[in-house]
Amino acid sequence: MWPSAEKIYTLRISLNIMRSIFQPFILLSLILSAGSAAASDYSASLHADDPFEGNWTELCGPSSTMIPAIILTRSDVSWTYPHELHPIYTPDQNITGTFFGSSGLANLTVHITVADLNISNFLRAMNMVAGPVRINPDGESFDLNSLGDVSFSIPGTSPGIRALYVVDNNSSTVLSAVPVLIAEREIMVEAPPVVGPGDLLFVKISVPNDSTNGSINESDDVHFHYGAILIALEDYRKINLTMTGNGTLEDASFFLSKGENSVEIPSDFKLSSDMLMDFVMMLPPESAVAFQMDLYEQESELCMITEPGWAQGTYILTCAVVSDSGIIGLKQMEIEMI
Amino acid sequence: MMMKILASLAILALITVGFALDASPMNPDPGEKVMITGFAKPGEAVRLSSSFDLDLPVVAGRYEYVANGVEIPQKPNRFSVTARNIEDLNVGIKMGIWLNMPIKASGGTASVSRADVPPGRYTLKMFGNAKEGASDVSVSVSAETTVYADSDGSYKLAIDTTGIPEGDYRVRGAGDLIVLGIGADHGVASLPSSSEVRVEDRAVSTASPMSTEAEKSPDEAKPDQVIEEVAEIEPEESVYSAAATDEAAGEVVEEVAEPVEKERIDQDQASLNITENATWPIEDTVEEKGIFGKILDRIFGILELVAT
Repeated sequence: MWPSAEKIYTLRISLNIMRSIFQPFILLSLILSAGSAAASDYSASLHADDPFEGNWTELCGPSSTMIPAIILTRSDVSWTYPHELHPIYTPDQNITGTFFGSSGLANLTVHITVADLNISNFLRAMNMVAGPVRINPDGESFDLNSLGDVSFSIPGTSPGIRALYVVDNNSSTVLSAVPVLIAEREIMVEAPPVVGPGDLLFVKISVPNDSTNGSINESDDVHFHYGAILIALEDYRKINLTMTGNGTLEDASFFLSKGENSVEIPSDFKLSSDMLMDFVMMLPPESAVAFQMDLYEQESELCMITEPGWAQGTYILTCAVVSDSGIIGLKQMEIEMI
Repeated sequence: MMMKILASLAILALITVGFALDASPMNPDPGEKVMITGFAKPGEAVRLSSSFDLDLPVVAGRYEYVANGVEIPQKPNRFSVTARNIEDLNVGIKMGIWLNMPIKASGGTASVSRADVPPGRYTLKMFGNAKEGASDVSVSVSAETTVYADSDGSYKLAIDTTGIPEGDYRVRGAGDLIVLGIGADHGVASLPSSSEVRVEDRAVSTASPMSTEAEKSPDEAKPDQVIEEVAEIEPEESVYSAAATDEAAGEVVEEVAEPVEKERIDQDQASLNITENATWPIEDTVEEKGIFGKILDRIFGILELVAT
C-alpha cells in the first residue's frame, strides 16, 4: 500500500510509564502511528497560532493532562500548538471538543473521523511534513457555524492512540488533526494536595475495576507498572517539543528542550535509553520520579522525595499505570508546595 | 616456644605472600583514604567490593538513612542495599532529580542491587516502615567495582572513607576479605575465616577504580552499636590457612576467565540494574541492562515500534 521508500513506523495502541509520566513523550508517541485503512488522499490546510482562527481542534473531557508547548518551525510554515490541556478518555466516554476553523469556513459541512494514528498522515496533517494525508473519509458530519466553528461529540473507541481528523470532503482537505489518547480505565490517585519542601509525598495509585472493563483477576496474569513524576509547574511550562525540517520526514528534527538544554529525538523515532537518560538529566533538580514495576496488585504506593530547598508553588504530579498490553490509565493533579 | 613463634611467623609470612589483596592503613581515621593493593596476572581484571553495615533506629515505626556524596565510579559497577527487620524499603537516588523505587520486603528483608549506575556523585536515601515492634533495622550497603592489574600484575584502588560510618568496613576481592576498622575505637582489622569468603568474591571482571564517600545521617548507627559488631570479627591470628588461601586464589582465574570477556563486551550497553529481593551477594548480572534500559526495553516492548 505504501511506497517502499517511505518509512513509516507503527505504534501498537499503548503508552508506557515513562512516556506517560514524561508528558512530552506522549505527544511524541502520539505522532507515532499504526497503519491506517485504505483511504483517499487529502491535502492539509495550514495552521496558524491563533487558537480560534488557526484550524485547531480543542478536545475536552472529564480528565485532562497538561502538555508541553509544541512548536513547529519550517521555512514556510510555523505555529505553536495553542492548547495546554489534553484530555484522556476511556472507551466508554464520548470524544468531545470544538473545531475552531477560520471564518472562511463558515457554514461548511465537515466530517469528523477517528482513526488509528499514523505518523506520516498525522505529520502531514499538522504541516510538519509535506504531502497528501491519506485517511478514510468516513465519519460523522457536522455543520460549522458562521464563525467556522463546531462543537462535537462522537462515540469513544477502544483503548489506544488515535487521531481525530476534521475533513472537508468537498475539497478533499484535512482541516485539522489532533491526537486522541484513550486509556483502558480511569485510574485513581490519592496524594495530599499540600506538602512542604523536604516532605515525602506519598502517592497511592490504584486501578479500580469498572463496569466497562470488568474486574482484573489474578488469573489474568496482568503485571502493572506504576510511575509518577513531580515537577514544578513553572519548570513544566518551560519544556517544549520543537519540530523543524524542510517538509520531509527524513529531514525532520524533533527536540525536547528546556531552556538551553535539549534532547534530540531521532527522526526515525527510535527512542533509546540514553535519550531518556539525557532527558531525565535535563529536568530541574526540583523534580522527582518514582516507579514500581511488575506488580500483580492493582494498587501501588509511591513515594516522591522532595528537598527542603525546593521552591514553593504549584507542582504537577503525573501518574501513569501501564501493563504489557498498553496504557491502563494516566492522571495528573496539582500539588502545592508551601 | 621459640620454635612455635618462628613457625607462626613463617606461616603468617607465607599467608601474606599468598594474599592477592592488601590495604593500607588498616585502621583509617574517618575520611582517610585507604589504598587497596594486590597482585594478579598482568592485565587481569579483579572485582573489588566494599561494604559496611548499619543499625538504624526505628522512630514511630519508620527508619531512614541518607548517604551524601556517594561516588559511583565508571562502569561496570554495582551498588547494593539490603535491609532487614522491615516491612518495606524505599531506595532513592538523586541523579540530578530524585528517583525512588519502593521494594516490598519478603520475610522482613528487602534488597536492591543496581549495576552499572551512571558514574557520578549521588545522594542516596533509604527509608521505610520497620517491622512491627522492631527497635532497629539492619542495613547492609555495598559498592563494587573492578580494577586491572598492570603489566607487573599489581593493582591498586583508592577508597575514600569520608562519611563511612565508624566501625567495620569490609573490602573483598580476588578471594580475600579484609576488614578495616574505621575510627580509633575500631582498630581490629583482620582477614576472616575461609567460610566468610564467598565464591562470588573470587570473580574477576573488567573495570575501573572506585571511591566511595558517604556522610552519616543523623539517624545512622551510634558508635556503641558498631562496637558490638567488632566483637564478631575474627581476631588477627584467626586468618586463612595457607591452603584455603591458595585454593581461593587458584579458583579466581578459572572461574572468571569467561565472564571477563562477556563483561567487556556488554559494559557499554549496560547502564543501571535493579534486582529486587535479591540476597547479597548478587549473582553476576553483567548481561542485565541498567534500570533505565530495563524500563525502556519494557516500555518499547509494550510500544512495539515496528517499521513498516
